[in-house]
Amino acid sequence: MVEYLEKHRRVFLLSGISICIIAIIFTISPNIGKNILSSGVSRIIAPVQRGINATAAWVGSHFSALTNNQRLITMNRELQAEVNRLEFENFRLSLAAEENAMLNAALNMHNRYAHLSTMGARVIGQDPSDRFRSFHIDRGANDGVQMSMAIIADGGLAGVVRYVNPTRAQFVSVLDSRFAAHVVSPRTEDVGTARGDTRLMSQGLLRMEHIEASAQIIPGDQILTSSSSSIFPAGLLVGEVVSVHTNPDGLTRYAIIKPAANVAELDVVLVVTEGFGEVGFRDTVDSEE
Amino acid sequence: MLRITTLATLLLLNFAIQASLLPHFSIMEVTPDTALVLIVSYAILRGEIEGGIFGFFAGLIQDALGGTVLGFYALLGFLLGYVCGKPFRDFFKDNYFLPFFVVLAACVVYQFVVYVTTVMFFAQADFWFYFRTILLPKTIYTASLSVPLYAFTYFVNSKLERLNDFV
Repeated sequence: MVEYLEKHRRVFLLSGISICIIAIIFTISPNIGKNILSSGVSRIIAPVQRGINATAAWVGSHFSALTNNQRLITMNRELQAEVNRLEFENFRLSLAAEENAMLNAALNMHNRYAHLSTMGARVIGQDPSDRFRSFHIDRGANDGVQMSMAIIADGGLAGVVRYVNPTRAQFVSVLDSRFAAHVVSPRTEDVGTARGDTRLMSQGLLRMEHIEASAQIIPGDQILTSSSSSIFPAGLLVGEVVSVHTNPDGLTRYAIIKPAANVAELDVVLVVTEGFGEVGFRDTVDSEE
Repeated sequence: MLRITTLATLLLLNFAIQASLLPHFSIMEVTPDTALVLIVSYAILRGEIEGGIFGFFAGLIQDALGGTVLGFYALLGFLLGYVCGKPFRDFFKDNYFLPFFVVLAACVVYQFVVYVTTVMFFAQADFWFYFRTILLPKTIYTASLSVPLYAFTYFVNSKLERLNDFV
């Protein structure tokens, strides 16, 4: 076999290149060919990956427990203070929630966030690429995961499902430059588009673009998904504004947002199994800069 | 047959490790491209034909795992294996400096091609930024792993050759 190919190197080279190009052309239009092979490969690779991930997590946790004792003591103290603060906050918020429920009832609205049905899933791997941030979860089409379902972690939007196999799914995180969502600041009702940004990705931040120059948005404002989003259910917490800047043209502004979900340490996430639009995995962006 | 089984296991294991274990060992936010080292090492050891085939399947798995288009990384891997296998048929295979420099050069070219074909369109990052944050650190990290990985591939290959099992 190899001896035969050695004699016909040119044929070998040309046929290899043409097989790849045919595959590229075949997969660019319909998504059929990719899914067949993709699910086949992940059926083999997923259990291996899950095992290795579990081992790595186990080793990592034991290692850090041994070496970072002092750090853990300090952290414990800080966390205790945090718990006290949060208990107080919780009490304050419960009063606000009561008031909110009352007002909602008065306005005859229902709180969509509380009624969203979700499903737990475990992150089993990260894409082997440094240019994008996407993750694999151990739930797939067999468990009811579908394209463009939202992923929630730490109480905030963490990403959106990009494609699904029978046994697992891949989601694009909010930091990924392929992520885009229509968002709103509920305090000022300013709208914009939240997008992942390659430059901000390593700092764990993302951009909110296309904000009007007259917007009253300030650092500390919360950012939620907007009801004009064609993909996400309205009212999912995306994050908090860190800073606001005016674009060089002076016509629009953009904000830097710290996502509520800690993308660097995703472990268990929730898949929101309703309120998603089956039109892709990103909202349309009107004007690219 | 034994060779095919061994290489398939090696590839699957590599991608499982690359996707789940290596992110824990990232330096400056980049992870080493161990698949590239495996393709180059194997191509140097076995010539352009087997190098091309090996690179093709390695790329195919990478495509299936999260590339945008099936066949893209397969094409890159195929060409990488073919090109790296071609000039080194008559070199001493137990010289570890050769693979180091080939990996260094291959990684730069490979990352540059990936930049031109994907990053420029999807990630909207300028070249200098890409060079500074990904290309350079990733190349250094990958090249530093090339010697042990080449030694490993060399070991596996010589075991297979001793078993006298031809495809």
